[in-house]
Amino acid sequence: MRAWASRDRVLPFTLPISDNLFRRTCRALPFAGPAKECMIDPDSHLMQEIEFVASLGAQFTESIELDETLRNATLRVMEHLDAEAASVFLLNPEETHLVCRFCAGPMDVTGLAVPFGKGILSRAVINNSLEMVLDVRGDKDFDAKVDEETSFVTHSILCAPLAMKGKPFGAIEIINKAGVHPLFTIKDGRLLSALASLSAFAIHHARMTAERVAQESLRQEIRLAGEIQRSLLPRNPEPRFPIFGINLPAQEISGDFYSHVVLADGRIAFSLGDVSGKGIRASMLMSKTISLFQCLCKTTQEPGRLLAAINDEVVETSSHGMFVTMIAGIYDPTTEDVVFANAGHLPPILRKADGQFLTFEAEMPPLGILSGIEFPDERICLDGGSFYLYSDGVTEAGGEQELGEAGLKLMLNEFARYPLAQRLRNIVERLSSSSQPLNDDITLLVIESAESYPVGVLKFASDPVTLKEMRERIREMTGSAGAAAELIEAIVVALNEACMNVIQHGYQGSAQGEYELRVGHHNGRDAMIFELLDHAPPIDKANIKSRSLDDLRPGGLGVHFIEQLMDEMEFCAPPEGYGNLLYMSIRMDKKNLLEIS
Amino acid sequence: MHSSPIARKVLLDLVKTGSPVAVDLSAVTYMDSSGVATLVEALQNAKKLGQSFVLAAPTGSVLGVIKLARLDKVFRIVGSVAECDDLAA
Repeated sequence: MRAWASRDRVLPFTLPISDNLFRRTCRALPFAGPAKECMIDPDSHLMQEIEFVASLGAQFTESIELDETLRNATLRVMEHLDAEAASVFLLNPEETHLVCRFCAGPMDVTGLAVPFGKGILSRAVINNSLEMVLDVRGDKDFDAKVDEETSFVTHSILCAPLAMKGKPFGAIEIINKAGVHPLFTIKDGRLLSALASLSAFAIHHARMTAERVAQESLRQEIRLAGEIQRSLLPRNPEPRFPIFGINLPAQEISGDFYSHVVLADGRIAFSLGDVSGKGIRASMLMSKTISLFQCLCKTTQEPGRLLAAINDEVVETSSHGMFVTMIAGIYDPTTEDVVFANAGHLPPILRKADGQFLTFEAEMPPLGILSGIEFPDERICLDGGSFYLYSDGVTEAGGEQELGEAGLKLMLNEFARYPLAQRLRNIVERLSSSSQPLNDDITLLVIESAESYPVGVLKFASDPVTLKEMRERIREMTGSAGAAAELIEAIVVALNEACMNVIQHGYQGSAQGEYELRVGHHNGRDAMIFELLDHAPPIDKANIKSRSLDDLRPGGLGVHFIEQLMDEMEFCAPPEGYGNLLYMSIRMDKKNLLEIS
Repeated sequence: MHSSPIARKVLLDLVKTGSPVAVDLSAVTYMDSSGVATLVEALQNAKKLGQSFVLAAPTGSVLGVIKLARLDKVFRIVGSVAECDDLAA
């Protein structure tokens, strides 16, 4: 204590900030030793200072209102040091000025911006050191401008920098020590340094919190934007629908889109596009283009004219050189004819029924570049084949080993027999499971006739006794369609469960009803198609769930059996006069279904 | 499903007697999920009474259905009724 007191008589004008009160305090405090080893007198000046700093620290930890806490702390230090004025200055984001965040004393200089680099305040910040000027008239850096503009007279200044991780971002300034000993002491300086350390930490913490809140808010906004975008894409259609699209954004929001709209005459308008660039701007142009398509396709049914109309609209309002590559077309399910036009997009692929591929290069530029362009229509007939549209995120996936058009065609062959939804999901899963992260959005759309060749129709009364005959007839039908013995048994098990559910749950065990099984063969996919129809009251799809097999209990296995065995199982809108329609399909080459030894 | 209610009654009554039960499945050509449910219920009741419950000689398609329900590890399944006698003894 004596040594410290003697050092207090020395008055260095600049103190390194590292030599602060805490280090001395930490050395003096008896952290681990027994009470008798305590060298500090509880009534000593040091103890009072420690208590004062501790109470300031408590204020910072207890309060969530940073400004108020800083103001209170500064006021208390000002009073403790018996000074006339105090203020807190922070560097502006451009680091050109130190701006007064708040002040206490006779003059209100809140908002005052002092050019950074000039004055005693700046010196404390630049040097990251405590400045103690006992007489400002002798300091060349003292700027008397504020004094001149106000009636205030500055005599002495004590100024401690606010710094985090060695980087100063402001300072606390105390002006004119009053009282009997009107000169700041090194003890005052250490006390102010302690306050500055606490304040710097609190300000930094508050800034980080504000930044996190802002970032979280932005993330939330982007998430919402992504949700709105996804709501613009079509909902998953029924399995019997001839078009299926899929979009996997690389980030929350996407610049890709696809759409399909059933027109009044039963034909289906479709599109797939990709906006140049990424991020919010691309997603906004995507939203605009898909909305234009969904609106205009109902009245403009020539794809070329439709693209021309969208192009003119996009050219008029597009900025920053953004453009859209897009294919639009119309599919007629009754004739399998496709008419389409291509604005600078990747060539669509037709996989013909015999497995051969045809591609169709775009002749016209993307949308949004030149107005008044005409886009020629192309006509093809699927004739049992499948027509694919895709974005460059598909062919460019895989990092250095890009998939390319050739790789995509291999996958189209590999998954050709899968139902549309499962086929595209398999491709997307394969692409996204590669070790390379997705660089671009992945979007695919397929058009394929849903029509199947009819194999036969069975009708039975809703009596369990009919199930045996149903199974026998299904064995005959699927056998004559070329199904292998294992596949036949799997089909029989699945259909038996489906029919049993109709009897048990649909008709509540009544034998007065009827169920109908329509059996077909989809040539393109080489799959058996089953449609189970009944006249029972419409079921609630939400109640049809496969249960966990870990839960050992009798019953509830039927849906699990059907889902395990069939490729597709979905309730669809029934035809007129029917209550329910359960659609199921299974590939003819499906194996390892039932482990029959 | 058609024969399940009868089979269920017979099986559960048998389990109630407290004797070890072996179900000879060799003549069962087809079993659906309600048949599997009956076997599960009987097994659970037998366990409560501390009795053994064994399935014997299931045909290929019946075993396939049991495996589809992932119950092949839950039931004690043996290849023949003769093996059941050994177990019961």
